[in-house]
Amino acid sequence: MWLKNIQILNFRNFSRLNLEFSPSINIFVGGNSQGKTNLIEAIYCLGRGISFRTFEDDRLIKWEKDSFYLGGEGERKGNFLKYELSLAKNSRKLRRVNSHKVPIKNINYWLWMVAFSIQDVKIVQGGPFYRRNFLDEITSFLYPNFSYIKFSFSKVLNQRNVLLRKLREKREYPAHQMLGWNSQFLQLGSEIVYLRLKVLRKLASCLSNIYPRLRGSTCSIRLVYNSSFLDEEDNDLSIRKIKEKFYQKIKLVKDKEVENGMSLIGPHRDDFQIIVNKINQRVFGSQGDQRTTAIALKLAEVELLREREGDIPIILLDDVPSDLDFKRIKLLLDLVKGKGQVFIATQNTGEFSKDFLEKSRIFHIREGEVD
Amino acid sequence: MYYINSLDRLINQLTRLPGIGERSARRLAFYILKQPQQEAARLVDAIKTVKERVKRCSICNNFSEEDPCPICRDEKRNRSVICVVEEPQDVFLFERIREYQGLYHVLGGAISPLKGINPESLNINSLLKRVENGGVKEVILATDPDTEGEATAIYLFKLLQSLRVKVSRLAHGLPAGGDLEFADEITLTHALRGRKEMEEEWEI
Repeated sequence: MWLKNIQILNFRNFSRLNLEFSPSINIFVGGNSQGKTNLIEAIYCLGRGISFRTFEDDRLIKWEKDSFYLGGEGERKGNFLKYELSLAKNSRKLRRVNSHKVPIKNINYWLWMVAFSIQDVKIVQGGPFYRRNFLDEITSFLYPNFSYIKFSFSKVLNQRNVLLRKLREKREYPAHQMLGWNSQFLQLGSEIVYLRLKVLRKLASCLSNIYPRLRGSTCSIRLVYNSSFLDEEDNDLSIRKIKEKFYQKIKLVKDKEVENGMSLIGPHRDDFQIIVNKINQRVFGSQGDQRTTAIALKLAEVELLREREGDIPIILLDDVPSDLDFKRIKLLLDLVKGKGQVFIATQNTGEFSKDFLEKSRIFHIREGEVD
Repeated sequence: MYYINSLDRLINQLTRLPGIGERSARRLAFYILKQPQQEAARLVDAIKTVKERVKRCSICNNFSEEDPCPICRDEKRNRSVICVVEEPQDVFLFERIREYQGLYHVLGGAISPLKGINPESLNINSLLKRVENGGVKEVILATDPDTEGEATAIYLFKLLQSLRVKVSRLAHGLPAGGDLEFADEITLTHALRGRKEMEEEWEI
């Protein structure tokens, strides 16, 4: 899977740009705020239809322009397809593949990409939200139903919370009113936990392969799902068993839920711990260890996508030397076995070896222009 | 600025209609303005008459000019089955297929705490009375297959269970005449979970 070229019109700080890429390593060199990250973002948008930096699509349009356009030829399983993404102000993004309109959400039309950025360390350092997001994203890649289940679950959760708030005001628990929401809450919630556990096991087995190579020494790594209703050892249960446990627990907290006016247990409260050599990385990991762990998690994502697609996703490294040293980049390239396409945005090429630079295609970026 | 007070009022009224944005409202308003007087009068009259004549049926809560409505009065219909729907439009949809011969019951919406719709604000008590009065063997729950419709169905099922009546739910799965290829993942999942055993074919 690789992107052969890109055409950019009025995207971020670029007016007009046409670039031809190498199927292996591409390096974007430039100082601060010259447009390196914007170029990485353009590639990601073209492949996936969304940005990894912002949800406000209008911000992607060049200042004082009305629309942007991205186009490029990408290879998937030996076929070259023409990918396009455009957006006019105050309207919706339009995605085309070989001139046919396709929905952005349809993963069958994605050029798979994994973007590494400084923000990734939040998966390890940040609150449970970041870890859930990371896990849920991968889960939705591996199990397309997951997005729909999660969407329905969040709708049910909202309704249930409104009802619980109302019940708190009246201080009563009419079971029959809760029934319709409870049964969907239990079913959808259990399906979410079931799929998450499944993906977490896959992620863990990838990590135990990747992590020692990143650290250069053997180490044990464990991912522990922290469920609000399962025990630690319940990491391999059927949906039915999960639902049974969920049900037992929710019966115990039902008065408390009314007291608090909200749903106290369920997948929306869950988290997972990353334990390396018996050390919980979020709490006791050093800054350096936390970064390594974040990189390892993203590499595991690359590996899982490779298994899913039978092809290595395109790898984007945004502003790398601050996060990854050269040794790790080399290792990363070892992992993709020289077959995958990599884009690296960096301030200077000093950290890379001559041999490495000779194999790469280098683009110098200055104020939205490239030579 | 170009501005006509009464025209603006009409446009404002039209934008309140579902599916009508400002642009369509303006188009409709100018169209009405260009029509001869009696044409506009006919539209006004149609709106007035429909509001005056159409009431709710006291049995099934469907729209009707008569009370009880023609469906509830029709002795040829199967009076032992009641199909429960959210809106009067749904009755229209079922009637169009001419397959269903039973009666209806219009709830007037689905349970949604978010929108402030609780069971008490729906037309549920009269449904229970109809079943309690006897003669009903089956209640078909035909609420929408979304979270609100599902919650409503589960709620009704609980209430109806104690009344010794068969309760069924509309199936959801693949659209007929369609291609598997065009079914989204979740529909296909439902279809798979709700699969049916094939029956013996008649050999000739």
